[in-house]
Amino acid sequence: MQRIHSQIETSSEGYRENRAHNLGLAKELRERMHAARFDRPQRAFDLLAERKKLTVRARLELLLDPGTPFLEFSPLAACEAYDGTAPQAVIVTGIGIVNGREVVITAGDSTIKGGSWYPLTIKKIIRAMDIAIENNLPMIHLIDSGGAYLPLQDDIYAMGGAVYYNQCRMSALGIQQIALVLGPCTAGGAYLPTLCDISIIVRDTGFVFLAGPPLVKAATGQDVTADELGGADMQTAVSGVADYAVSSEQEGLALVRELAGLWARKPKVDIDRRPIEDPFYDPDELYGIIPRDTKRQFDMREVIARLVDGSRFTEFKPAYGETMVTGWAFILGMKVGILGNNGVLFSEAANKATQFMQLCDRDGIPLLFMHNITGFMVGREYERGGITKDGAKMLMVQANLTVPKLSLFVNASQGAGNYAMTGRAWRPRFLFSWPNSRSAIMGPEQAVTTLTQVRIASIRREQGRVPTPEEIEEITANVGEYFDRTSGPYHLTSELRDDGLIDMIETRNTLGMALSASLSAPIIRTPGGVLRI
Amino acid sequence: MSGFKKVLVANRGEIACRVLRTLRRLDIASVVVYHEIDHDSPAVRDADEAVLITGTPPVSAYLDIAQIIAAAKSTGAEAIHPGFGFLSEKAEFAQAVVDAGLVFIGPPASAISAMGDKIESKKLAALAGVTTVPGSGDAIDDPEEAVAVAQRIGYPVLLKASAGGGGKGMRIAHNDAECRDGLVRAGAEAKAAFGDGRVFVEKFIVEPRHIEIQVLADGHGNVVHLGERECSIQRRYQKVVEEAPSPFITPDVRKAMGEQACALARAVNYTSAGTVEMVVDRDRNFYFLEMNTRIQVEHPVTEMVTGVDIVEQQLRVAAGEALPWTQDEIQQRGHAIEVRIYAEDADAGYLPATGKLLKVRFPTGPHIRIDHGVVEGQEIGASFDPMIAKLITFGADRDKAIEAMREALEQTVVLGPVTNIDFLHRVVSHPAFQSGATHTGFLDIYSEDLAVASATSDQEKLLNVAAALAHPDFDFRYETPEPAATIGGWRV
Amino acid sequence: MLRELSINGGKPNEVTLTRRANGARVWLNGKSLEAALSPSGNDWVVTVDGRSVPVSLVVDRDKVLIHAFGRTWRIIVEDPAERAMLGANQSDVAKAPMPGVTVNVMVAAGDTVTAGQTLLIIESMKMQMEIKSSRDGEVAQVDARVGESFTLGAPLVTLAPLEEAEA
Repeated sequence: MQRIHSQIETSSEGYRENRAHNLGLAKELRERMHAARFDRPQRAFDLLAERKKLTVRARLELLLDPGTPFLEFSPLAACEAYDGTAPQAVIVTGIGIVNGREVVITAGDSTIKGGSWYPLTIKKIIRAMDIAIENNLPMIHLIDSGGAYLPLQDDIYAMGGAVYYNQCRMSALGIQQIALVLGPCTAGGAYLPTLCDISIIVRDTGFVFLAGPPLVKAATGQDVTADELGGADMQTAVSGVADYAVSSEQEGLALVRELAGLWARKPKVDIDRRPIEDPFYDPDELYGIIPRDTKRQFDMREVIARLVDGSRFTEFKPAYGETMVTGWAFILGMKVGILGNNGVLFSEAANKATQFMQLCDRDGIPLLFMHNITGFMVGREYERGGITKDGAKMLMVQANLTVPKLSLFVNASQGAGNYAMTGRAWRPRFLFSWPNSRSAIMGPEQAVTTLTQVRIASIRREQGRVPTPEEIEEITANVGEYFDRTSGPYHLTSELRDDGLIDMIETRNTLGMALSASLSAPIIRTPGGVLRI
Repeated sequence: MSGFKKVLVANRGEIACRVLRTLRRLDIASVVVYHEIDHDSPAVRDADEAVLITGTPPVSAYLDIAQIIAAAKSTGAEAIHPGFGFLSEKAEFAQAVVDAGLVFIGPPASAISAMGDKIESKKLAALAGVTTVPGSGDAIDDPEEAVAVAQRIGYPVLLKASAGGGGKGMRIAHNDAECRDGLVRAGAEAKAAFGDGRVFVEKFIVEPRHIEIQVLADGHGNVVHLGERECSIQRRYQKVVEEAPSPFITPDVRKAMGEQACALARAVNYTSAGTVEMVVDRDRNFYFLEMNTRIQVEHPVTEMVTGVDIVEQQLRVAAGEALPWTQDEIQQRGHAIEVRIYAEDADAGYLPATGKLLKVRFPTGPHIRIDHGVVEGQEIGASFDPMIAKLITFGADRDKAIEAMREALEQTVVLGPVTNIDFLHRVVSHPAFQSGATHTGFLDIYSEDLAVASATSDQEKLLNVAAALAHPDFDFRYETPEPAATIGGWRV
Repeated sequence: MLRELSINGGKPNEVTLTRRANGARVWLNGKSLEAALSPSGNDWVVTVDGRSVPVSLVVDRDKVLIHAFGRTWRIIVEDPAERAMLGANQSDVAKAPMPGVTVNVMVAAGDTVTAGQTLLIIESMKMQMEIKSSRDGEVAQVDARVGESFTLGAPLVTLAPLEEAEA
């Protein structure tokens, strides 16, 4: 396979400026992730220690096979919501290796508001379940929650039922689930462990009951302890609601490992594999390649060269539709088809992409979409050329792909271009974004211009006057601020529009883990849709 | 050989296998008696016939004269070889065998009883012109008399039970007070342990070496000796290392010791194999200790340096043949060392160990002889002496024999119960052993040097890794799939 | 799965590992090594960071017995979590230091005993031993019976557990 020939000059001023900027973004990302994961009041840790409970991270380390990777999803969920009082949306989710098997894990964090579930917590859990379903992976739930965060019940209650519904459907689909109850599971929460195949309760700290002692007292006047109502021994030895009672979290985690070890391994989709090779060009150079200015163009091949094994890439149809780069490569030993943007989407580029996707789908090659797109080309000749129907063909084939799709926001991902390149709504198995990326319905400048026009027109119509320069400035600022905020990667990751905001340097491992996980679901050939030729 | 057609071996384990080996070589049919607990043992498997004997505890079966003789009669065995231990030195057994019309492969019952009593045997030895340890001659029960003897022969003295063995009923006294006290205590202990409280006083030899002479006598008046064995390295009066020839005595001393041993044998009309045990002091003065009227555990080293199969000679003598050589025709050549491999924790007070022999692999080679009666998978229990095997090496000289022994010990694999193999290696590797400074205080004096060495950090690393990879606790059934295995312990 | 391994009764080492197709990555007291254990005839070869050594080994429940470097080694594999759970009760039980037979029993259930008091006399390998109490307490249960034999580690006399002071 041919190696990409890099043309980057690492000594140039542009490179060095980009690098400084992107390193700064990476540093900010790390700091925010660290704070989200570890900044808690000391009292919270003291409480854990008092009750002989482990932190969420300590539990994960005991659960996972030593020396194996953990792909955490959306560690910055809720980072710009709830005034930042619910870091990580109070739950850690991800894919890890337990007894040699890839597993989707959810782990509640009771150092935040007792582990209560916020609306974004529910969304994060459901997202983890969707990943488990789509990729046919078993689930392990380390449950440590105080229940729903009642002040926001309106956004929790109706949607929250999907958690349990999914469990029931997963059970029918053959997706195993094990629960380790490390805290109270009350009301609806009591169903989370009970709907699992196997549930384990830790004595003295884990409880499962439909209503806790205060509620029972209020409802029926009965005086009863938490242990009697739903403690480990009662629920395992008497009622059979749970399956194992253990005396410590360590024992519980060891038992989860043992039970996971009894699962049959899922056969992986048979794709082309080669021995793993590091990229020829140093991935560290990515910091210098991505421009500080989002509007600045760069060659996507340079990015590809620093992500794929040996920097080897067999490009498909290089001379046609040059604003779309297509080709095949290996990432961590697994063959993938790559589509990357090198400019605006023209008809030729869209058609090339469509053809390429068909080829990969037929041959069972997973696809990676590398986004740097503002949209399709606009203008009279292009409309007359039928660019909309060419875009439609691309969408039609992409949506009906049977192979796994992965998306990576390398830079901008806007408008219909985001859709064509498999945006969130188009069900990529996984979607990750870089700290420099932005995604919105259109770029801020366009948005500002358009909206300002609309406001000016409406003021003229309603008040019969032209707005003052100060008013125009105010409109511009408001609209700009709104678009800036809602197109930024932190907002998007906070709202779970992606599966994680990642440092560029972690991309290979992230994609490798994601790709490997996606191969646990069999590829089922289905007919495509109708193409408007 | 116009001798026996069938012989019964009234023993078990290693010595039974060893006797069976010679019987097989001489084409003599073999019978072995066995207790149920030994039914899987190699001796039972190797013998042509095996007869079940019963008893609780198991050891009592091998002490049951009636059952053993009945077994010989029922199988048509003509003679019984008693091995060592058990009934081998019980005069009444030897007599019972003879009374039953069978041949006892050993000395006459009279010789056994004469040599069985320490006080009597010492008197007989003195009469035969054998140098004995100065002492009281007779048992003493009066502490003052003991003191008088002690003063006559000079301190330090040993107060020793007549019926004693294995260190029981013995006290050392360095002065009158200790002498009085020792007499009383030794007597009480001996009475309790052996039912015979007679104690005699003897000179205590400093830095004693335990050197014994192997004798062979036939029924035609011929008595020869096959040279000496040095068995000075002992713990709690049990021998640990034996070698032939002794690194200490000179040919003159050897000749003198041999002559006296033969004289003693003649004096009691001895036949078959026997061992005259002597104690030798710093100045190579030797004194008679006792005579063992049986084949001994450590006989292989004599066989290695003389080329004589002692069991074969016992069989021939018992069958009425004359010994085939004169004393001058017996040569010692080269050097042999024997170590006894026991299931015991030599580094923790020699506490006996039990357990299944999970893996056994003995070294092989032209300089190695292994006498054992065990098989992989066998349980070493508490019913019998925990000896697993005797490892004997031979070399053209002592240094070569030691080198061969060190290598052989390194290659001996016994996994299961704790063994003393590593300890034996430390003993034969010690410079004092290599220089021949072997007397009975050896293990005590060098106990610190002989303490177990810990693993080096490199060795520790390897051992921990091997154990972890072998042990099922480490989830050995799963593997980390790729690419996770290459990515390793990464977190987003 | 963290385990503590101790060689010939030495200090424990923390070990954890993940296996790959051909070998494993082992963390020994926090340091990682590449290792493999491969069969070789009737025995094994262990390789650590490139260095290979032939060994004989047998696994016997919680022990791995290894013959290497011309010596015999016993490595005990313990689960610290399990040990923590059992640890509380150990000192209450007087166990047999070696296999043998009970000769004489001096106490019965309900008796009060003091530290060092002889509880029973056992015999093994023609030696008699006194089994003494490790602490003051009350005898809860006597499992040893005169004339009966037992194996190494068998519980002979159990003391009633000490009450923990309530907080």
